[in-house]
Amino acid sequence: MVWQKIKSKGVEVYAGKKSRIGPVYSPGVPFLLGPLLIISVTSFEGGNILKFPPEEFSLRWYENIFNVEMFLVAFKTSILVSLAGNLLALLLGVPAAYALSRFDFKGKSVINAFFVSPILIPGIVLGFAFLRYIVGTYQLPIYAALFVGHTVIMLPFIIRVISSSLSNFDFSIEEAAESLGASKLGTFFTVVLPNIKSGILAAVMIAFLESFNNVDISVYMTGPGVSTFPIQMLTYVENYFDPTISAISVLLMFITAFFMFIVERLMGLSYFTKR
Amino acid sequence: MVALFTLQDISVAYNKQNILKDFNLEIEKGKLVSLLGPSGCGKTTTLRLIAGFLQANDGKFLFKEKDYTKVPVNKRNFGFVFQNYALFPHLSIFDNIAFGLRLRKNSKTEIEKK
Ligand SMILES: Nc1ncnc2c1ncn2[C@@H]1O[C@H](COP(=O)(O)OP(=O)(O)O)[C@@H](O)[C@H]1O
Ligand SMILES: [Mg+2]
Repeated sequence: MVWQKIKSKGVEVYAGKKSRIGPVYSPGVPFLLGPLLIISVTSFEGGNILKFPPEEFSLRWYENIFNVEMFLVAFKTSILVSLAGNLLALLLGVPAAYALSRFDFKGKSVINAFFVSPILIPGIVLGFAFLRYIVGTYQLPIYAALFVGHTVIMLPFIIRVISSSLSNFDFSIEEAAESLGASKLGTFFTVVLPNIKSGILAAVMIAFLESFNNVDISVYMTGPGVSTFPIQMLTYVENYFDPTISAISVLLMFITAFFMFIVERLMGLSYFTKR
Repeated sequence: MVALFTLQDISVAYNKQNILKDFNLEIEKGKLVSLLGPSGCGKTTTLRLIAGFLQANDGKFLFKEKDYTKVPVNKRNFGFVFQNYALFPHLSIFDNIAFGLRLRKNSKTEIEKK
């Protein structure tokens, strides 16, 4: 939004005007969407080799996804790791977001920065650190290592989205509830939580996507026999050249778009820009 | 006559700056009292202290001659009118009104009657 000064009858009025930035970035759109479009088209290829443009139309590679055993196993692993990590990240993230929004205390900005740091550190670096300590020093089994690693990468998303939801929350109704006889904990469950429900749901979905689509952390932690879904996709393209991978990509795009659509409905996408 | 509310040598400080210092106040039963003063002199602070949202750094608060200084907000059974209405946005009008009554263990029929 660009604010424009309008003079009317000697009074200065500021009116919001639609931004003109659209034409500036629109040439970038083909670069963003083009590859996705090509992938989508190749997924309907009837032949055995991934190529563009496709020669005949077929849905057989979509069918093939469900026939490849390792995809099914990796899919289950990914779902399990993402859901379990999500739950732990919620248990840690909700109280943290609440404390950071509700109270003023010394070192608040440091703690805030600490919780957000996994977003700022390149995943490949974070993954290496995890490899050294979680897998190396502490010798955790693969599942446990994935669980810990994914919890860490989900936590900042949970905290950010819930904090942004809490920024619209009027904390004086907490005091109202207390003066009416509710305990501190009771107030949290009967007044605070119901009011940030949609924020929590959005946080869970965004964190889930972040974890489910993650490659750079998982690649360090997966080991013999245990792989997450995106890592399995990498392994697959190293060995096979058929369009199955395009078909999977299209499905993942749809799932992601669907989740983001729900998140957008729940609370808008403002938390990406808000501090 | 003994006072209903007594504030004894109350001190409250925000960031080491005293807002109330050795403040004394006695209010008798049945009296209507108003606190007057310029903005920022500590009226809201005093009320928040009586309601229990705020703990005094020093001094005592007595209610019916009992020491209420450490009694938590939800055990005081005082009414408090908020400067901004402080309604619960996730509840209906009925549930907003019933919130306190439920917590104070009124039966459902009693709540509806009220
Ligand atoms: N949470 C707080 N943190 C720091 N200072 C505060 C806080 N609440 C109130 N104050 C300060 O205490 C003083 C008294 O505030 P208040 O009791 O609200 O005054 P009023 O008499 O206008 O109701 C003001 O100077 C205000 O700046
Ligand atoms: Mg005031």
